[in-house]
Amino acid sequence: MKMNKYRILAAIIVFGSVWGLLECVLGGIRFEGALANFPIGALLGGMVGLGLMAFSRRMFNVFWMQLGMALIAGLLRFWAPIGTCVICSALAIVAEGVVFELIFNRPTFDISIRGQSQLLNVKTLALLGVIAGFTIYVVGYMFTQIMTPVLTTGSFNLSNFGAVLPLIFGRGFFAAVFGGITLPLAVLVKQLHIDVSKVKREHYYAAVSGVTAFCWVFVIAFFQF
Amino acid sequence: MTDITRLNKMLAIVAVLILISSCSVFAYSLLPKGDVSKIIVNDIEFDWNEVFEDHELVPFVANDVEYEGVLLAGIIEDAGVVDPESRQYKVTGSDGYQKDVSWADMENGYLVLDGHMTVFPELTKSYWVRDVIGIGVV
Repeated sequence: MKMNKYRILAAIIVFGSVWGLLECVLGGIRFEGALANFPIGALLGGMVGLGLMAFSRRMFNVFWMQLGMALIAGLLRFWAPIGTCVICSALAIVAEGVVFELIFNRPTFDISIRGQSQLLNVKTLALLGVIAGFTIYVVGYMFTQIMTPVLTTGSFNLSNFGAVLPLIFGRGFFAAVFGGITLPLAVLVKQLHIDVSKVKREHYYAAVSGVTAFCWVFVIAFFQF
Repeated sequence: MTDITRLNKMLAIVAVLILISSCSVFAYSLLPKGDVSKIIVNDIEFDWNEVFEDHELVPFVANDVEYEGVLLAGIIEDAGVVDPESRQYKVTGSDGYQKDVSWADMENGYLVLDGHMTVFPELTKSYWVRDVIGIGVV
């Protein structure tokens, strides 16, 4: 059964909504004590973001779908004005989607079912996950450091940006580690993968609508009221 | 050498470089870049407790959270900055994070004891600097 475009569109919305919900819920967490320096953004970028994008790429084999997911997740993040800067987080999510597409749309790194089977082993995916997790997080973080002051104050300060670069690169370590764990799991664990084209139409759309509605209602109800 | 072996080798080199360099940079970022018990404003050193004893604590709300802090503008005036309205200010944290803000921002900004942090209710949180060690006049 061939995947039709409406199923893919629904998948973009549901995966984006789940990603956005996790960003909203986890994004405001601040650890104390020994974990005070743990960057929660690295977990969100290197594990949640990369994991959902890799999983959906493997499942649907559709290029640029993950950017759509990132746009939906970024849009949902706007409804949760807590934790770190809302604009920063939304921009970071979209930038993460762009970076994912730029890396994984290359034929060499095609992790979809039609991709090279020799790529699909734990070692290669773990190494690729380290690079992808780090790149996605660092580029997303750098992008927000450039765009947030431009969008909020209309100016960009190069010395402030230069000062924050070591922090971004340092925190990228955690995203790299999470990426190295997440990518092989998202791509190789067979139990995670179902052939959605074989799921009955009414069941598919009912599940997608239910999960999407839950994510949006939860975020709006919890963070707005 | 097969394609996958060559690819793995290349990926391994890049991944190891990323892990070693980012881990080293992270460890370096944990080192305080100044004395966290003091705050240097316009080259004048203040003790944190002194700042909060000498200035009135003002309750305020930012991002729906209630805080108590001292007005940054008061500290700037205390530090003897000449013509403060026409200056820009660079707030620096102990981890090296820094942000430039205007006098208008300083007038609406606070220094909070919890987290030794600047809070600017009207700016995005990326302008809030934790563990402040200095406020320079630019």
